[in-house]
Amino acid sequence: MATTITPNRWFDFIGTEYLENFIRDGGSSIKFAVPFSEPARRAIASEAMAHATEAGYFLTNVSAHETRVHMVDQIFFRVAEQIPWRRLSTDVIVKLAELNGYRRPADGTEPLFRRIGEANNIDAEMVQMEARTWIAERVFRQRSLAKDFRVAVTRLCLAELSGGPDGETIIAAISDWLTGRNKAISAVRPYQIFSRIDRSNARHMLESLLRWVQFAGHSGVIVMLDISRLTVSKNPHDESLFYTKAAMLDAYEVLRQFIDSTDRMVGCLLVVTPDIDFLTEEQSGRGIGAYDALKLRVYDEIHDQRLVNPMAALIRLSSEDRAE
Amino acid sequence: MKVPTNQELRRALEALRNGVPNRDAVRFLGCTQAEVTDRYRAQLQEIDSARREARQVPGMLVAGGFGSGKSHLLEYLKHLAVEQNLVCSLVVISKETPLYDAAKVYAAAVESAVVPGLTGQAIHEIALRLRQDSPRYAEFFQWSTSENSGISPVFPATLLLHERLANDPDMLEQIRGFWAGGKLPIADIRAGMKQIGQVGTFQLRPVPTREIARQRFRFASQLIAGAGYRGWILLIDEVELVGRYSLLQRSKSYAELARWMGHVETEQLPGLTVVAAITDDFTLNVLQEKGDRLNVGARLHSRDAEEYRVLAGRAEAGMRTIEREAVTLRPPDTEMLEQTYETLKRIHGQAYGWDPPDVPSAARALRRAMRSYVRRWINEWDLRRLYPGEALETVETELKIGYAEAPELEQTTADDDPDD
Repeated sequence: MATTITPNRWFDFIGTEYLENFIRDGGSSIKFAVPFSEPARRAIASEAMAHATEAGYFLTNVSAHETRVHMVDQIFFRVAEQIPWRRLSTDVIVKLAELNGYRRPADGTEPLFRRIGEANNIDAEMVQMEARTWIAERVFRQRSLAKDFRVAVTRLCLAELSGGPDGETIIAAISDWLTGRNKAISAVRPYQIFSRIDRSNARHMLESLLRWVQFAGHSGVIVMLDISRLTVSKNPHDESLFYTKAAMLDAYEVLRQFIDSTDRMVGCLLVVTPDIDFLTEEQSGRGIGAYDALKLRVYDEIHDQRLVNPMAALIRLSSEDRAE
Repeated sequence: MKVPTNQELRRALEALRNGVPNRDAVRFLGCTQAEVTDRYRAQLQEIDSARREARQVPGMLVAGGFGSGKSHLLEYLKHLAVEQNLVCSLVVISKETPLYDAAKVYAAAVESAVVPGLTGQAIHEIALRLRQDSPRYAEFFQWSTSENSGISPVFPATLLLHERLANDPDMLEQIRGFWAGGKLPIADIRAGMKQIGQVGTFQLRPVPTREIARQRFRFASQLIAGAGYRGWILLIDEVELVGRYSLLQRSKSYAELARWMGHVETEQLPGLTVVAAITDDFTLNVLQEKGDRLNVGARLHSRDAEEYRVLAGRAEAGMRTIEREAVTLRPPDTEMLEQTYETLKRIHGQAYGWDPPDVPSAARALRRAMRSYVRRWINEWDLRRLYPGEALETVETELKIGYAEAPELEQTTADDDPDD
């Protein structure tokens, strides 16, 4: 019998050891949290939501049931769909305004540049001119962001600043590109974006998204990645995706790459929640033993008989704490 | 060494918990494989002059047991390279990046490339750095149009377009995407050439699929030099995964290894050099026990075609490299263990603001890898900090790597989104 910890206790540790400091300060971490029961699976999801809210993180959920997790661009799109892009643009502009001595604008329906002008008793057109310079200097020239991402968020900020129907059109086009809703490059070419988001650049885009969230003043992003579907060995012909063995290995490879590129990610906690069959060690099976590269990075061949190390890469969750 | 921040210390520990060294872990723990690092420095020293002489600096293969520190070493070598103004790619052989597929190795190399002083997509960012009025660029352009370049005219044509079409950002992006491994129809290149009044300057024909990856490597190595960098280092980790391929793909992988090591006279990659890492039991478990040493050559020759005879020769060279040329990593001695222990103890203490007690080391054993010691120590300090006063009982199970053939590793899933 394996040593387990309750989702509640584990996420409390994660909150104290990671969310309140390390990740908020720019670090990233990937944990494999294996629920031993459905109540434990439900509990980890609700713990994530509670801690994300409390600590100021955006919580995103990706499930292998409906998202092709063996393709990193699909993971990116799913995360991007759950990011409030307009709010981030507003947050960035307001932050830049405050850094330049302006008072925060009131909420409202008027374009942002007018609201900043009103809050500061300054001609709105002057505010708009100045804000464009801030966006050019602090967003467009932010080299830590991938080029296309940088262009996209610059456009979003400018559109959010100016508002109006034109602004709405730009925001819709850019958001559709970011979320994969519209893959046609023709829609974003007018905004100087010329590349599709695909497997070759999705990782760079995700890294940029994480940086952008923190730049906007938020704690970071928690990604809950449910991969329980991967261990289903026979196609049940239901409404969820089915992964062939090859696709399952591709998915494990995506996870392996996330682990190896943790350094390039900023402000992110990625919690992978597999099925209990994930712990199967046989090379011929569907568990972690099927892919050595992942196993060697995650498996806890060294552990305590009684105590769960909540900081370990692999954690077993159950409704009550249990020792071997 | 500058005083590490708390964040850097924690990042190092987080990476070590995963058994994957990162730049912080490598920075703090350093590298004690003097023979390897000395040879590597010599490789780096030679890279620029070798490029001018149109030859490839011979590569190096390192071998070590599971957990012996191969990945740690490669991470260390990566940072040495970047510090010396070299572009460096760390490619992990995997299902997505099989060693026998040069196109996929190229994609992984480009995706993972670290360029000194730049972030983002490497080839795109490097291309932005090209300065047409620089001697380096002139040398690069001249090379691309020379008869001995070994690349299709498609490459110098796109380089010329990149130079002349500054007012067409869409085309520039497509060209950079092509250099990075994407597609660019010949018709588009011809249209661009017409736009700049250079129709007929180059004989443009599609490049055969089996050739284009190799030509991309050749072109990219020179592009990197043309942008002012000293060269390109390719670090290839987990080569042992090759042992799980089918015989034919293992054969092709051995041939590729020979090429990466610079042993194929007719396919040199000037401006690029390679360090690859493999497990030290590969020779026994794969070359001998699977019979590759005897079977690979025989199987390929039996196909009775020139292409397979060439492949057989290269595969033989690759296997010889594994058997005879691999530099074996030094196993940890007492001094190395003590140094690592003290460093990790200090890091853990500083990272979490406490005074870690001494933890019992696992019994020193010849076959116990550094990974085992490091993970054990960190696990015990974590537990002692989080559960003060509790008695600990650490257990360790053996992690085994197998070489059973896995056909799924060679199967590709659909690359295209069905919504396209």
